[in-house]
Amino acid sequence: MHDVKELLKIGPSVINIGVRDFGESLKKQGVEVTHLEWEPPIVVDQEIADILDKLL
Amino acid sequence: MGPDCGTAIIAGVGIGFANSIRRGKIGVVGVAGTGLQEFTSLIHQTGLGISQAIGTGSRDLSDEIGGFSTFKALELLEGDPETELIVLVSKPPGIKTLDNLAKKLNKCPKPVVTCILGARQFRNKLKLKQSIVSTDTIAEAAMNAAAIVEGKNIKLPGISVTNYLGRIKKEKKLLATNQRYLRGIFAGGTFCYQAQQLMAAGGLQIHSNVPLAGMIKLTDPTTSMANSMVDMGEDYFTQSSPHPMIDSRLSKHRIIKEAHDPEVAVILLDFILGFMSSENPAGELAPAIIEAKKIRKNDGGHLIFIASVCGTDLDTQNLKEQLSTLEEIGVIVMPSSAHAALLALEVVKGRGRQN
Repeated sequence: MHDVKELLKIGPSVINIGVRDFGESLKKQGVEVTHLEWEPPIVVDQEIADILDKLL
Repeated sequence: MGPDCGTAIIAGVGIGFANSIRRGKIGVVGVAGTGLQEFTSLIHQTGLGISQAIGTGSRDLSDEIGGFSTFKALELLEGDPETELIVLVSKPPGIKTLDNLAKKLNKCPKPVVTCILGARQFRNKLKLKQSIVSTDTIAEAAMNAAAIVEGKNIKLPGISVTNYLGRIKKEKKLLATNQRYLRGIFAGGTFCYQAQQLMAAGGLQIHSNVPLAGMIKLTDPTTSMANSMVDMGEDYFTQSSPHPMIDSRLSKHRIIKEAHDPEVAVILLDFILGFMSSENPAGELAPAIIEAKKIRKNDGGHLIFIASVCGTDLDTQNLKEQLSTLEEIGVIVMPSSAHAALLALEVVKGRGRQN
């Protein structure tokens, strides 16, 4: 593993998690990016969940 | 970096919301994302450049965190042979963190310039050595940093808008007598804090969704009161919408809403270019600005728009076109967010009861 001081010389290695645009912006600057698909879990209000259950 | 940090430039690479900036000798630690963006853009505009711009997230100097990333970043810049001068741009730190911050900065062997917003509140408690240049605005930090790097080791006088007063004189004559308030609608949280600081120094009480100490919290962030400054990038707005730098929908609605208030005289805006920002911030808000001016005019008054544009000639949004789009629709564009706030203050000074 590189010392963090090396980061200032060689630049970042990037794993982009979630929103693709952040990774794309780095790719446009010539940075190699590994993208990880991820979304935050959907949190549904219990009242709304109950209504959806009845409807569906 | 740290949680909620959205801005950095490391080894010339812009990470998150950042501008295209020439490489150079000035290193900056930003405990304030848009503060970092404006500082680096202004340095670029002087012809100088940035070695590293390390963002930490704007909560890092809170008492709960105590400066963990900030102090590490300062150490990195001290040890970086490409960095000749170190700048700290920060939102208001926690009171308990001030001593450790002062110790850290005072030990730095390289020249230091600071812009710590809200610093007037705790000026006596932040004991910095004499050689450190402390400034009240991001623009002054950039001017002083540039001067030091160019070998001029004197603290420059503060910024002034005297040369711009002629531009607003004509517009002020068109205001109705009951138009007395200013409304700031910001994409950049740092600009919102800085504007509040400048208004406080000018004797104005501000309502805000992110009030500085001594200012008043808006009970409803969607509804302004008297003189108000709103950070549209604050969590209340971004929980259900993209950040205003990416999508200006909520800002457009807010401009129209403020225009319907007959007591509003001036609207203060910021436009931020660079990576991750929308491709045409000025073009997107232009229709709302035009409509807002019509609303006040139809009511027998006028609406003054004052703005700053944070960006460089290397940003993809085309800085020149952004400036001309705004100027063509009658927006007064100032050289920095601090200049814009000071000019907006000049519009409302003396216009009836302010609070």
